[in-house]
Amino acid sequence: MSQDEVARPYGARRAPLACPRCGSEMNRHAVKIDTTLIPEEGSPDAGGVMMDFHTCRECRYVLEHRA
Amino acid sequence: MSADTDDRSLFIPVILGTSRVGRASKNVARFVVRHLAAMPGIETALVDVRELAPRIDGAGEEIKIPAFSELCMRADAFVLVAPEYNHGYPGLLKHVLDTNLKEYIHKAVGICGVSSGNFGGTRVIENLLPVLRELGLVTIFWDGSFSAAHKLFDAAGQILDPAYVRRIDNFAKELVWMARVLRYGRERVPLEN
Repeated sequence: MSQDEVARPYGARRAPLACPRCGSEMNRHAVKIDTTLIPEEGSPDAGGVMMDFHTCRECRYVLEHRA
Repeated sequence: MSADTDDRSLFIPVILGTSRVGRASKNVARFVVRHLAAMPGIETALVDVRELAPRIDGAGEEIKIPAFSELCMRADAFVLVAPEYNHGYPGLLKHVLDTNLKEYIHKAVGICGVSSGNFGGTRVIENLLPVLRELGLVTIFWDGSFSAAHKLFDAAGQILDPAYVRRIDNFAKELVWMARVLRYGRERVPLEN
């Protein structure tokens, strides 16, 4: 951890996203490096891009986006 | 709602992982489908990699098979029926699995290894484990091991050794437990950050 880094409070959660298919609340349950994507220069995520994964509680749709 | 009060059915497709002519794995896949279909609260389907006919001249999103991706999105767990070819898994099965990622994450998977010899596909099971982990799937520790697969079924496709029924029942029960717990987690338990 660097001197400039700000720690999140323990247990802090991000606001849930709305499902693009049905509008219901989604749950963010995974983070994974997608090695099929090319990271930006200088990215700490060597070998890929860090992605967030969310699942809809109602229609099961899975949404991924850059973390 | 909790994992034990969720009365929605589970969808657990069975993926037949070989396209070869004369494949004994087809009988195994049908046997597993019949077993799952007889369990209360379980929906299943047989997915044949031969019928998926995936493109082999692309990469990433362009090799996605829309109907297969939708099926995987809907699935709560998977069964892979994988014959052992030269100690490994069929290349077509790997190619089909690689067409998706987000559709698999934090979903349960069980493997049924198939062999013509005596080891019941043990080596194909072991070789698939790191692949499935990288795809975000969660493996159970019961396996289906079908040795001498060409002798295991009668002409109508019925299994001849009743011990396999008991074994696949244990396999299926662990898979259902894992599928229920992971569905609750995917939908209700947020990742701390």
